[in-house]
Amino acid sequence: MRSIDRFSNAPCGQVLLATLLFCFIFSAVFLGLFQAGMAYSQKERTRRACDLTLLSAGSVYANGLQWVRYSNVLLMLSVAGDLAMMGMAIAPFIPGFPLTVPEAMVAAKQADPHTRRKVQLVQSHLFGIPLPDPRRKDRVPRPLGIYPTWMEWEGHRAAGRNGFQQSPMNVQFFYNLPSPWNSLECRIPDMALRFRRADELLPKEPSPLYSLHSDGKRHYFSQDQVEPAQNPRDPDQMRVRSDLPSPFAGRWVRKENRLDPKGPDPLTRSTGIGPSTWDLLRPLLKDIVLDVTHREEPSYHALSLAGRSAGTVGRHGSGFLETAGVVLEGGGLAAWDLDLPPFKVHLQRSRLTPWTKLPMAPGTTLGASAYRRGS
Amino acid sequence: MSRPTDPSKLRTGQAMLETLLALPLILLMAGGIVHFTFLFLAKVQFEHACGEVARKYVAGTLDPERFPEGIFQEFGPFKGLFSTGSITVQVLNEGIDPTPGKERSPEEELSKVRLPRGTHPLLPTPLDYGGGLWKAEARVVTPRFFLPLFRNGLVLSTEFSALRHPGRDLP
Repeated sequence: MRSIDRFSNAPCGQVLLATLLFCFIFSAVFLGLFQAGMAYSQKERTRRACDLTLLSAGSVYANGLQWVRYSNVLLMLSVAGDLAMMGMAIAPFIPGFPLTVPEAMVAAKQADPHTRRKVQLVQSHLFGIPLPDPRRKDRVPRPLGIYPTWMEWEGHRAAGRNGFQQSPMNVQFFYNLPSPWNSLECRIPDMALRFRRADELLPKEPSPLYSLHSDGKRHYFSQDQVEPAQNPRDPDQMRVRSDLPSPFAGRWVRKENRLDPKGPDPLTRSTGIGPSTWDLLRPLLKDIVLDVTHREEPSYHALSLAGRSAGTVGRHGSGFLETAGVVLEGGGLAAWDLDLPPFKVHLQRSRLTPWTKLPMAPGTTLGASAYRRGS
Repeated sequence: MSRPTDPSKLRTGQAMLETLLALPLILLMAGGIVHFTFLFLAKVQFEHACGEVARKYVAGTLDPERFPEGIFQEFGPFKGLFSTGSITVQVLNEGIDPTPGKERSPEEELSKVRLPRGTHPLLPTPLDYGGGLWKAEARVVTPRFFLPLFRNGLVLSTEFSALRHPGRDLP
């Protein structure tokens, strides 16, 4: 101990100690700067990777939606073919109309080749759309589509090329959040599609509008946002639904005189037949399954990603986690929408609400990068 | 000139001499830290610029041939950190969409035979999305402090990949 004291008191020892302290401080500064710089660079790379992976997967999604349009053309051709076959079958009964209607209907049913059903079955398995079955009243399960699976595969490939860890747990796509039923369903590759029924093409009776006045502004509510106000003096009095997450929930509303600001739809305009007349046909057309259309109204196609970058930050064995989302916009999917431009993919800021419902890895923040410490 | 004999005056002179000796070293290290920071800024800006050009590619507003120019434009106020004309973008994996204008040998052409692409937006093509994997490199202007270390300049490199739909430009 005495020798250490003597050495530290000597000028030579003091110089050595000072040099060691000096070196330590600058080493710490350099190391900290290096680690911070590397982490910042990796964060930027992760953010870029997240955006590019999503845009790439979104492009595959958009390509799939264009394919839905093509398949709907095929479906319409098959419907036309089926109708032609049925038309030929009922042709001999036409002179005896209307007395021969029952026989004609039987003949048409027997002559129906159901080609459209085969095309719909292909569409169902190709794009992962539940095909309604008239015999089943419960909810038809959604098949795992070939194209959505391809979409997931291409997304993971793009993630690997952009520097994400190539494992399903570290790159997770969420489909059409928050429209799925539960958090598990949004992880199954999905294109947010459904089969349209024939009655949906008929014009609908425009539903009345309701409004209330608050703070100098008039607020409007649709038919499904109001309920009877249970007013014994005026049984027709309506109010804003009390279970709505609205500051006006429970407040009385008045019925507006105007119904549909756009006016009558093209079918009503061209035929002169009102929606109430079309309603007579609705029960007959309800069970006829037609082409593929958007599941949500208005259309909503979105893709979100939570991915962890490859490599490590500092001593901890984990990279950055990044979340982002894209939406696809592009119009209708019907056969007559084939001339519309292709779907466009847009990056969007992650909305917080849907993510909070998901069981995420600890350390994930919303809409920004987060660093997860190794446990 | 007489030598000071007062011990306190002797100590002051020693401290001044030590400070004078240590000051260049401290300044050198402080300068190194500042330049080191600029290197990291350049790296982050480079990564960001590559992401921006890839996004423009996906949006259909930038062709891969113009990636180097696009990256340089995206440097913004950090252009001075990079050597002019030093940015190169190399196609690593052409993916589905071959880079337009790039000539390939017949063997390469045969090995890249894919499903036919549409010539009209109404004609269906099996996979009408294109893209690739690119490697971008840029040479950073070496700060004076690092000249002995990086005589040939410091090259930053990154890889990025993107797909876009439709893979071809619309007529």
